[in-house]
Amino acid sequence: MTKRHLYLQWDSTDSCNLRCDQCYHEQQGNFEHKQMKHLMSLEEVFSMIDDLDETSKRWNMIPDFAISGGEPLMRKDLYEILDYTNKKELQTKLLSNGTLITKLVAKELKNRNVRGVQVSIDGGREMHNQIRKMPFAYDKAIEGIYNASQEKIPVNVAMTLMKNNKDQFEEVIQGAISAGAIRVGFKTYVPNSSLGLLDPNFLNAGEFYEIALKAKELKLKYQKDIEVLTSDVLFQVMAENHPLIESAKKENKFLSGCSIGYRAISVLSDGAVYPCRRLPILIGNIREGLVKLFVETPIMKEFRDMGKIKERCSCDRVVHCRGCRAVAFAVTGDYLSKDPMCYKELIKE
Amino acid sequence: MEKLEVLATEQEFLDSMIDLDQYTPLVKGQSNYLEKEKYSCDPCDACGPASCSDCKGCALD
Repeated sequence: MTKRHLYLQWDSTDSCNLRCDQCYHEQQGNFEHKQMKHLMSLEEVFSMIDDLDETSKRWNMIPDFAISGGEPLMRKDLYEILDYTNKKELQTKLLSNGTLITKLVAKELKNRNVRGVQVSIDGGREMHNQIRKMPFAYDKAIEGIYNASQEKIPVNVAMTLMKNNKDQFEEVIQGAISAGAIRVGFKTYVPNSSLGLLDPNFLNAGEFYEIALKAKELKLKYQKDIEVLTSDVLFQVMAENHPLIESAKKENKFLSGCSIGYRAISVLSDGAVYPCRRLPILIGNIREGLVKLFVETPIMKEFRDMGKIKERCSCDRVVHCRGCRAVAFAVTGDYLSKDPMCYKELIKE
Repeated sequence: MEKLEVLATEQEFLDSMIDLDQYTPLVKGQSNYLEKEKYSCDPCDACGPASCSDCKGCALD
């Protein structure tokens, strides 16, 4: 039987050794207020892992556990947590800035059967360092990727695509290849909700369309060296028609695309739960349990009602796209409204 | 751990996602669609490329 994945992204800590321009922690004031928060204890973390393990078995899904931050390697009991996830045989990944992955750290991660590391690279050396506000951030991240790759830990490089770095995806690909990463892709930037469309880093639909087309070219150009992922949700807009899409739409069922409401959830360092890490709407606490949070939370139910998605995001691609709900919320204040980055109307036949 | 019985509300939730196997015959033989396994790895903007270590990108490309 083909199983779906049940994805839990956990902010293990609010601490970080970098202060990136686009970081949602910065926007949400977490660095300033972290002293006021009660971080989940090791016992609470183990309970969350048990819950993910048991719920995925219950639902016949594959548990995916992504440990984020802050920077996850800043959490002092990280190795104890990884020992536990290894014992539970979860597919565990780290979402890291890469700068702290020394040879020794890479070995420790490998010993705990970490299945993958995602390292963020946001441009060539100069651009990346400028965004990270740290002179050697790029070189340290590349070194971290190399160290993990040497230990045969698969590394994906992820770029956050913004106005100021949108022309540097190819440089990111080349950096990823040089360090030994096996995949590279990008995620769209979610604008600061207080600025919305006026956020200077926000990409409009036309700009995103150009990049999406370029990414398809680069996928072919570098296919022998690395896998260029075209997995951002808005790539679905370019998908050809297929019976699966028709069937899903007819039955009002989720096929693929943005997983919000269906198979992904985000837990903050204090146990608070968001539908997605990029969508800061509190839906509960992890102590309530994943079954309740997924099945009973009203907002999660709204996301599963395809008929509630508004305007152009209710198009014939709704069952495998739905746009980015976080971008829609940041721009309009309505998480069911259209994704302003959708370029479907711009596609030339 | 013994798998507990799935409640009706949970089943309704699970049924809101298309059964990936049900449509396999429609996938096979289509030139632009590769292995059915790809559908188990939904491209997810929330998690990025790290969501699945076996990800081969988007099957619906």
